[in-house]
Amino acid sequence: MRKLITILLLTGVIALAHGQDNGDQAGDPEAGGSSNGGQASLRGLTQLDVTKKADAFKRIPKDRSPYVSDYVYQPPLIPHRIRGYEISTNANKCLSCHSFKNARDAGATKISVTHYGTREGQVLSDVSPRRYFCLQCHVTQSDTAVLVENDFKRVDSLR
Amino acid sequence: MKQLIKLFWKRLSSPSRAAAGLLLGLGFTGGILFWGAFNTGMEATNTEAFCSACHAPIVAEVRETIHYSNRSGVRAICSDCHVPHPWTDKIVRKVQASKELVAYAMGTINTTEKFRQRRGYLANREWQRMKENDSQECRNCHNFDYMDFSEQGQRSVVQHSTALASGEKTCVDCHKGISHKLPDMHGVEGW
Amino acid sequence: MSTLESIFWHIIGYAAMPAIFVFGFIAVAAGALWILSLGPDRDA
Repeated sequence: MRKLITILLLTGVIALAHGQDNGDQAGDPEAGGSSNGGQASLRGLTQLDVTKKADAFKRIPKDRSPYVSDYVYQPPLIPHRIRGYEISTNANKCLSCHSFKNARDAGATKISVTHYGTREGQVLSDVSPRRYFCLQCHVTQSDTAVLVENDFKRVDSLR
Repeated sequence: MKQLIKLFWKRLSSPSRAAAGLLLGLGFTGGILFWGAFNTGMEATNTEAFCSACHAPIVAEVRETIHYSNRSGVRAICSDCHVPHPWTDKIVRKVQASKELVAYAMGTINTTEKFRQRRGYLANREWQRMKENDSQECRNCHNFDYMDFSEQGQRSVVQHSTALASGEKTCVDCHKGISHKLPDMHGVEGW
Repeated sequence: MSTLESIFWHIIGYAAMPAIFVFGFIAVAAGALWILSLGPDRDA
């Protein structure tokens, strides 16, 4: 008899807890019947099955002086607009100013010598194919709100 | 045929009974009609639709560039850059285009593969032409005299106030591939 | 384009201009004569 009461009580508690769980979810307007578990991400509280309205395009500054590095080994940021700059098997617009050959005349920052190395560290006579696609590492900047609040500080040597 | 020409000449060289006003009027309206028809015909060969008949892939490429889509909605079509604007130069270029009709008949660039093969040659020819006429077709719209360096980017000012101002370089020396994808640029000066 | 080709095209190009005018004149003349021939213009 005692055993029976214990089991009944236990099932009752579990059922109650379960019911409360469900109630919680239904009561939360943010997460109501949600497909994202009430989890806000960089795209806000958008449901998984809803396409969020795209943000407005960011304006990229036309031209400015080079950005100072924020950390050691940071790929330098692009301080100018690059609309229509072709990077393909035929042509690399970036290298027409930033290559070793053209940088001096163009007054541009020279690409680093690391771009000439293969994965195995062998130095090639021209830019290594694995370093050919500039925009994989180097990106333009625009003045916008930070995506995630943070208190990042430069290392002492770069401050 | 000979008879016909003789008859035509006889009629042409003998005085008419019609009033001078009527004759002048006929000549005047005939002249307007002829010139209008001629120019309409020539302008028809200056349209994007006409160019696309052979150069379709290259016409499509323009859409991503600033000469097709931009903030103020001003745009350039093929002929604005590739056909000279002054009348005599235009006629010379149009007559020269008869060579391109031969290429059309032979199907020189009638597939994408053939076009890619020939792209470097075609691009080089156009660059050379622009270099020789000091980028006249750019300057039809972009007049150096009215460029405000304070409105240009730092990089632009450096080049425009030196090499372009002195005439040492012309627009197309730097501005290649601004309206089209580029061909293989190996060996091209400055690349 | 070679210099020779350029000269060649310029010669043909400039030759085309008077040709256009002459043929235009002939076409207009033919048209005008046809219109005149509709009236009582023919003498001989």
